[in-house]
Amino acid sequence: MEFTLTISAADLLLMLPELLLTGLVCLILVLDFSFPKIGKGVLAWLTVAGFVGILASLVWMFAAGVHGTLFNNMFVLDAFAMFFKIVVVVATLLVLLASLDYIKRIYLFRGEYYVMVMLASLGMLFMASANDLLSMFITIEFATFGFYILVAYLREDDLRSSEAGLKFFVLSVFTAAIMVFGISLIYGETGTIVFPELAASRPVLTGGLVIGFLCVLVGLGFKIGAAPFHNWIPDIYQGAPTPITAYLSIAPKAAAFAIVLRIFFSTFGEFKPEWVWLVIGMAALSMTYGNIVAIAQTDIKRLLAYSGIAQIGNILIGLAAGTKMGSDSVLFYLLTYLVANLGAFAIVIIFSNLTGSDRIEDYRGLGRRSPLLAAAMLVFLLSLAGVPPLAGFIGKIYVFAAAMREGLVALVIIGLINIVISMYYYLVIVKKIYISEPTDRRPIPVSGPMKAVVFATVAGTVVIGVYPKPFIEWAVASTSLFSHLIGP
Amino acid sequence: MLDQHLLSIILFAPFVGAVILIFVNGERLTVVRSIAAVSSGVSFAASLYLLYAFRFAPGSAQFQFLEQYEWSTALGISFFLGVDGISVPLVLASSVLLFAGVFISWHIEDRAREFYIFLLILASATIGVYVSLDLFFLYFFYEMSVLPMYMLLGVWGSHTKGYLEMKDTAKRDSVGFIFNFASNSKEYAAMKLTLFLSAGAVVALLGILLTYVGTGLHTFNLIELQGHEQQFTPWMRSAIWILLFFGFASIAPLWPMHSWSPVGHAAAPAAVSMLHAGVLMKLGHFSILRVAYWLFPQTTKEWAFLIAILCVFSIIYGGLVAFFQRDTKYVIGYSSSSHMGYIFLGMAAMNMISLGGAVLYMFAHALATGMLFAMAGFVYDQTHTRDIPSLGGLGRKMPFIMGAFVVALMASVGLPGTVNFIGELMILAGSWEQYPVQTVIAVVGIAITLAYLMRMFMGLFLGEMDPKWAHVRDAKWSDRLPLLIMIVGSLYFGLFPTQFINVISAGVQPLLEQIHQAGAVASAGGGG
Repeated sequence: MEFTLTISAADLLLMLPELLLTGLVCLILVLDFSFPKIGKGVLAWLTVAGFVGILASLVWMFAAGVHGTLFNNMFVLDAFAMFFKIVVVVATLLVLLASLDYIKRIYLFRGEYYVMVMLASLGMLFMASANDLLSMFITIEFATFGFYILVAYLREDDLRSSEAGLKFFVLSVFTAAIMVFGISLIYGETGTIVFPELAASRPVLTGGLVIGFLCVLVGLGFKIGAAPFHNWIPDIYQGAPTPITAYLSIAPKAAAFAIVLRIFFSTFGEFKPEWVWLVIGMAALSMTYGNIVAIAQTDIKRLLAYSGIAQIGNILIGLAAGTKMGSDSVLFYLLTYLVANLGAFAIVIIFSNLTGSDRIEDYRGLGRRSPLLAAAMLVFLLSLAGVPPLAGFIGKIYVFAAAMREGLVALVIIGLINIVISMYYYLVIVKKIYISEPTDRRPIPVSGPMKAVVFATVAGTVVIGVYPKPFIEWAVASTSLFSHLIGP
Repeated sequence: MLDQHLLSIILFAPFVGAVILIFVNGERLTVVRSIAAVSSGVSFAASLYLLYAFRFAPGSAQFQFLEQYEWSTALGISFFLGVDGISVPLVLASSVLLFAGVFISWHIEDRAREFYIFLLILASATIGVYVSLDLFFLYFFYEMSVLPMYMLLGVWGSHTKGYLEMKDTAKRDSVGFIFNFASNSKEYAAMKLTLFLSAGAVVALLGILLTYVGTGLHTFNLIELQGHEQQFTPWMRSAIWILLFFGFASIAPLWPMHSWSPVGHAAAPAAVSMLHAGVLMKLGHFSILRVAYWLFPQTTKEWAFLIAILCVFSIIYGGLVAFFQRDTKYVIGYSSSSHMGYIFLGMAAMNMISLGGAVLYMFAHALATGMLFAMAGFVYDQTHTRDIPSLGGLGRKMPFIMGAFVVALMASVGLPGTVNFIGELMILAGSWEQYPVQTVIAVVGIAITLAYLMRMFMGLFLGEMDPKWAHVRDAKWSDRLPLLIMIVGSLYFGLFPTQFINVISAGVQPLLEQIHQAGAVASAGGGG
């Protein structure tokens, strides 16, 4: 196959956010090395400003309806990719703001921290646009590379961080190897790696294709952290710097879901009767395991890790539906999960900035120490638990309704039972915050950027819960590429 | 203009109050209390207007004061408000009890702002269920009403006596928190209540989702969903009906799903117990009427015997257990779950008189039990105990409360002159023909009610007074006002019930027509 590369200005426009981000990375790196006198705070704010610019460019492209493909279909920009790009950029922006204070406890390489975050987000922007198996593999590895370093960023200060980094690296490389093996099998069986071509070739379900598909599933399952590929999550969430944990729990998962949806719904949509059992199994296992193990946690980061596994299980219910409505519900649920989970981690960051502790026990009496922080935490936890009128409730109803229309009654029942289980451990935190008396009555200081993060996420959680119409419509419009998948 | 947005005003006035309170300085208690009082007062006044503006003449629309706003076309949800004759009395009861509850809680100083926020949200959500004509929003508000209970019980509630006597505090707060059934902390009560009600709610949600998907209409609109019962196989509609019934009945609380309720009542602050027993528990009956009866009339007819069997256990079990309680709030709590059985009996018989009586009794019981809980709460605040044997002779210290208690007792037992009397009489007269055994047992239940309430009355107010209660005082204005409102309501509607009965009949009649027609069509179809 001859590979000719001709790029016009119009083509470059399709990659505008990625190009801007690359420029920003170079700028920050050059400034950091050439002018050591520049304060790291200035670099941080420059990064934040850059991201606001990138978000603006994305919004402009969204409004203008720019779309197209590049590099022989490797890179696609459509409404679907746009949704995930906006999600990733918003998440990155909030994480950057949440890092400003936290980073002060790191003495070396503060400038590089921002560069690494940006490189990871660049990878995720490309993930949203990945349109063949090869670009899928490369973009996933690109995005993960930044995280290898970021997870271990606390280095000697906290040995758990180094341990987490090493674990993450070893496990991630291992599953990447499995995934690339699967890609080679799929290519061997079908002779193509481009998603639309794979779908058009109407492949026969041979043994090699099944194994290849399963191997790719292992790699993707690892990325979204669904059981039984979830084992890395608790240790790494606990060990990583908290802003990175927050980032890890949202952005890569959202970007990976872009790929998962493209593969399951478009590429292998014809094999839904076969793969649906795998997804149902993963969903049921993730929810049940995540929720039951979360009950026993004493560390809030570990608790949020297990609750995250359960939340991914909930999203997989929408995936199991395998219809247009299912994909809408997945996208919408991701939005609700983004705001609530990021907000909860923001409170954890604020709390540990003062106390240095992540133990749930230390949250005693937060309602008396800092009523507003406590109220925000209450909103996030209740949204995760799915209590109206907050975002999580609508998300849960949406995925359940989508699955129910496909007759997945058993899966919905498991999901409903899990709501009650999860209610317990979220309420245990609420009990510590509001009912228990504080041992330490100092109020908790909140810096300006953290206030912005908490305010934005609380507003998001409440607004999506009370008036979800525009967000549902956005999700529905973004998944028009799956409109051929109409349920019975 | 007013009529067009009347339901929104009733529903959102407390909610707006809660939102305003978020931005008020919590230290300024008077401001906080006034905002709560004003916002609940607006809701109260509007719902009184609603009672008299509701048209019940033959030929008037079944659902009135409709308001509809598009919410999500993708899911088929609209924000659709409307009331019929069944919801009007319950809306009124909710706003009366909220208004009374705001004054009953006047003495709360610890985080009063947060207390009122959660109380207003609780009442707002309860009213929301009563005025929703969209199944999604009915469930939305139903779930929304559960969570504030957790906060209200957990933060402002009180432990039972046995709990504080436990010496091993580490064990008490860790293992005991989950497994200790003998002595209940408020945290335990709050968690038990929340988990039980959430479990009931998700069971009902399963039924709701099956209904939503089964009709294939892609809408949650209760009026559009009606009349599609025959699309379901007999097996399926029975399954859905059972899910809806038991899901909603767990908040009612129907025996054997009642165990969260007395514990919850005992731990809750007075205002919360009032709202809880007065209107929150009726969410169960109302939702069963609105969803299970309304959407599945024929199935209701087939399964009504189940309600008739279970309601007897509620009446007798609740009554007998109440008789042997030492704790005042446990007495009233069990008495409430016993009285809920009467409503179920009226629902099971399914004729104009019995069902109308059941709806009227819901309103009547709200006022009666509200008074009892308010007074139990007042006595507790004065003496810091709810243990009946260690109290006594308080009548000399608090004559007003004693007098009010006599009225509340008369109302609870259902003596003539109170609105409870009419409700009870209608239920018993209506169900006599169909369920004579149950009716006789229900009459025995009334005798039991009299017995335990008299026992409690004598234990609290008569006999020798322990000298350590010398400091207690009688009710202040903030305690008297809500009691007077409830007493006046109970007596006024007891003496002049016509308006109420007309309104209720206007709501009950179309529902019963559905049920009887559905049976006729089915039997005709079966015969042909």
